Amino acid sequence: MESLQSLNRRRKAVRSIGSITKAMEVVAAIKMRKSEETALNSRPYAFKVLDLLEKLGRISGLDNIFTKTSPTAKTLVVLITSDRGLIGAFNTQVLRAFENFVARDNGDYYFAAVGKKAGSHLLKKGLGAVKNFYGFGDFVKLEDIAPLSDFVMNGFISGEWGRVVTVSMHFRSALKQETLIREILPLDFMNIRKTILEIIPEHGRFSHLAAKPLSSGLAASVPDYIFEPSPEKLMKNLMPHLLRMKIYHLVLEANASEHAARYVAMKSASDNAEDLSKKLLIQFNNARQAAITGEMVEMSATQSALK
Amino acid sequence: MKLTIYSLKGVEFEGEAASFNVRAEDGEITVLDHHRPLITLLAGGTAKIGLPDSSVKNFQISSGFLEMDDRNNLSILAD
Repeated sequence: MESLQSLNRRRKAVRSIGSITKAMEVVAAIKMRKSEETALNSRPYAFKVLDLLEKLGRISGLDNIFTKTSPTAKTLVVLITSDRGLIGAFNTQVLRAFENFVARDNGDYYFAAVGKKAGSHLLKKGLGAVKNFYGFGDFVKLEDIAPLSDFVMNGFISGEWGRVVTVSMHFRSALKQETLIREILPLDFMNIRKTILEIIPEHGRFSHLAAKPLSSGLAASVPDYIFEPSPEKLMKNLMPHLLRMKIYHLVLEANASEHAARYVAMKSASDNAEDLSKKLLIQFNNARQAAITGEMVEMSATQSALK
Repeated sequence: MKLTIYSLKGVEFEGEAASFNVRAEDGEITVLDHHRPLITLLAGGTAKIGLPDSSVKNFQISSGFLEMDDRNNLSILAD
């Protein structure tokens, strides 16, 4: 049996690890709530942008630089992971989905990495990212995304790539995240609507939003709008805006998932630490009792020898 | 008319308004009840919401979009 001292030391170590993971669990829970809230608060806005775009698209029937398809061009794959670890299988899942996608859908690729884990993965695989983005922070603002969205858009406009696909984690609920492969460019109006619907989680504090009727919906006929300054100029302003919103949401979602995954991982770690610490306490007590019994036996043996 | 102001932080204003005065890309405009359907780009400045009880509420806008539809709904997308 292990000595009393070493058992005690192990128990203390397990306990202190347990309190660290407990603290991380609490922090992750708060961050998860907050990032979920950010994602959902911007939802009415996103809907309105989409609504406007749909109307503009139908009235003017304008061809837009963001809707053009060029089947021969290369594809940009944006891989969105976290910057930090200790989140269970979160990054592994995203990276596996990415590997599967690249294996399945063969073509010419460029890669861009969002998050340190994605960057190091691409480097390890020798795929070479065109650009790395990291440090978006826990509560992303639209401005923080600007370098990423500008990079994606400019490459598309200049014809460097004709398709943009993102691989990221999708936040369904606090306990359930799944990997999501989405084609964000060229723009497709049906896809946009789907994106925004998906922002709503299935369970929890914000799930009631799903039941709400979504904006004014699709009107049968579009009223005879006056456009100021001109439909072309409006499109030119709205399109990049929408795209920025879309990328913003992807990152927000990935962020909420990251915190949720970390919360779950840390919760199971602290539960484990508690179990282990209980087991070690029982072992410690056994050892202590054995030592006492041993001493008692010795004492009574000496006493009877002296008689 | 029903006025709704959306921003990334959520819905900033929702309710009845008598008038809405704002700086658009092409100059200052005031939207009143049953305005013709209009979509326009907004410039930075202070928007004045004229409430039905004839008081005025101010709202800061740096850029955005305005949409008036044919059912007397005015929506502002503010950044």
